[in-house]
Amino acid sequence: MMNDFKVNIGIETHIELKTRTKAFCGCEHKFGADPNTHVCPVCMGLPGAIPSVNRVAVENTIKAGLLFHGDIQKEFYFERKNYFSPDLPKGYQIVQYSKPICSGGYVELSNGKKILLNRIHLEEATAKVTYDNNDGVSLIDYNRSGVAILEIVSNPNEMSSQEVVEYLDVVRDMVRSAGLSDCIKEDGQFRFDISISISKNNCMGTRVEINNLVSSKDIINAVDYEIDRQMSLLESGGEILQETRIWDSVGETTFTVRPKENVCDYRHIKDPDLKTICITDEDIARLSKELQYR
Amino acid sequence: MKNLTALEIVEKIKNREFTCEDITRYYLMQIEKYKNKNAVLEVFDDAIARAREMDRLVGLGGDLPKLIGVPMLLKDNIMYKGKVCSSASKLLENYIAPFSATVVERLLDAGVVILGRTNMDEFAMGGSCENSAFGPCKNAHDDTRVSGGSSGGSAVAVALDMCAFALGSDTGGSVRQPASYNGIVGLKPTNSRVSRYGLMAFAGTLDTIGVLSKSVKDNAYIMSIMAGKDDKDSSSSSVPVDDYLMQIKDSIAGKKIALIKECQDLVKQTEQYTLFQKIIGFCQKHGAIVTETSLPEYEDILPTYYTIAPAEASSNMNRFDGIRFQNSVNGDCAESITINTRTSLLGKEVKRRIMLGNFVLSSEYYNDYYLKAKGVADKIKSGFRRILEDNDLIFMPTTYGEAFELNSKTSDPVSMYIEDMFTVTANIIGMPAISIPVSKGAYGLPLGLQIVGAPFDESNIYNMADFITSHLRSNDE
Repeated sequence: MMNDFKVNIGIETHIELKTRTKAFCGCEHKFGADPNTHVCPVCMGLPGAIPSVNRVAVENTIKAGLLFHGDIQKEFYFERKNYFSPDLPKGYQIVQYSKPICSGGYVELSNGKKILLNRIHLEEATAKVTYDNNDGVSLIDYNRSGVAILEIVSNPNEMSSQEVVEYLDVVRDMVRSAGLSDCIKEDGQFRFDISISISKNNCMGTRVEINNLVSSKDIINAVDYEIDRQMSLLESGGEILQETRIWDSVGETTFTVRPKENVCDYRHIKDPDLKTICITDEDIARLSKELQYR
Repeated sequence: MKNLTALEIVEKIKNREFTCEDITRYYLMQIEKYKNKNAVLEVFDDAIARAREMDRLVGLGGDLPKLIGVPMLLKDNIMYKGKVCSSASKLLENYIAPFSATVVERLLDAGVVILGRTNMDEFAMGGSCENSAFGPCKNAHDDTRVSGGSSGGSAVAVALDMCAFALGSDTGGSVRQPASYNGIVGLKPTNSRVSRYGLMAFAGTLDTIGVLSKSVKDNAYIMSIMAGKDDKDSSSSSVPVDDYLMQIKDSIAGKKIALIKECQDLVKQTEQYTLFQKIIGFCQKHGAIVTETSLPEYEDILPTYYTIAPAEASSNMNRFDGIRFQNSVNGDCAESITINTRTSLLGKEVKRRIMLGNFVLSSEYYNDYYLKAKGVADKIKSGFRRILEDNDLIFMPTTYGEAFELNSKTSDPVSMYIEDMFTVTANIIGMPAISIPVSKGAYGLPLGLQIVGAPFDESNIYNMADFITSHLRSNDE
């Protein structure tokens, strides 16, 4: 009975790049500094400020693309993802949407299985908000605002919970040994979201995203739990809702945080402040060489 | 000291005919005299101190900076460190700029005295200066007529001799249209020619900072100081900047001028058309070659502009969420603070454009509106490029006619947008364009001529504009 089901898992990995400065301004990128000591008009989103691309962050993203056998695009640009949030000073996040730095690629597991990637791109981090301090105020620390984030997005692949853990370990090891990031999970340098969709036929099932996973044990438990939950729901004739769920490691369950009705329309638009970037074959050859001789 | 150009002021200060303080005091008196026009929102209290500092420099002798002691005004969306910069909005009424725009730094280095900030349509959105949160600015020559917009305050201040020159921003005609309505010179440079750092963004791909001046030579001289690569604006161009003043040759012989049939047809029944015939005759007499060419895509220019500009504007305006900037209206959560602030502190036109922009960018309408508009914009751009391969310049009207009456179009936004018919083009295609005063209309108010040039060819525009303004009147009227 269970064998009729097709389980597809997609993984988004967010990695803080180890660059001296932030993605779009000259502020130093430093973890653990006093709040709001590494900020400027650009990363605070002040009117009149204009971002400029950190070349090293772009090159590191290309290197990640090369590490995972992706197609480095000769032309790419940045877009704005528009939404309101206290951690987003400009009211939009600079991301890559329709023209990422790298498309395709794969991560190879020890059994030789290739987990296919959709894309690898560069985006900026949001600020850090501490909600409702003792005296009822929320505090915003802009030190993290604008830090360069490498995002590795996999396709939905048929894989087991064990393979998800191995995939994340391989990604982390390769990025770390290439010197692109320290990938310290505790400092938030290596974060990931896992999406699970289950279907009985060849169509893709409804996507359910699980957040708040840190340890390997949590990943295995949460993925297995979610597969079971969705299968029994489908078996009993229920409907799976597109939503985001959070793993509760104490109760060993997942619960809803964001139902589909709240999914935003991000109204992506090419960032008018940033030019399209062109990369030459020589650039790629040089970066590839830098990776080899590390 | 009356009606002097910036170049004349520099000369007279150098020759010790008057001091920087004298000329600054003169302009402050003029600003006071024309208070009823509502052109100037604030006079900076350190203007006299700055003028005295420049006088000390003059006293020291030696090589003096290019605009030593020249008093000027800034549009209220261009930042000057430590001064309020409000974009004529209630929302930013008390916002103090924490840094100066690159153009402001370059002009200060050149010795200017900044007198204050001028009225404008809120966040530069409008074409009449009636959308200011601090009341409309009236036309320099008629209190019942609009000053034009959005840089209406800057244009009126220059026209009524409240400063030597002023800065404006131009996203769809905001320098050229008020220049035309008040009878002065206004140039919008090639997009990316002048750094936008420190200009409050309306639509980054269309935004430019331009000069409003009394003479073409002033405009050329000042533009050379402002233009050029800026590391703080990665979209600014590194194409070398000409010495525009040196490129003014007092000859237009052999220059090829194109007219666009579709634009000419739009003004066929108006006094603009007669005026055009006269100017064309004048240019031909002085050796220019004039041809008419057709650009059928031109009729789509307005919908294209009013899709792209609000789309970018809606995103740029996101940052005013009531959380960081004063003023702000409280609420019980972040979302309600944002909603309350934007609902009560933004003006009608700004809200209209935010809604329009969000609509055309929404996933449902993105392809049908935004992408389509981008496609049309590319077509119009290549049409203009083709025309400028065979020609040096294009002549167009700046406006349909003289400044219209106050409140005559405020209840009908589309009729207001139609006024931008001839000016939005230069921003969409990214090319430089100037408006120069050439005549007066039936009501005795100024009429302008618009000259569009190829990208980074400001020199050719200045040369033609200077020739026409210097010789047209004396020879042909």
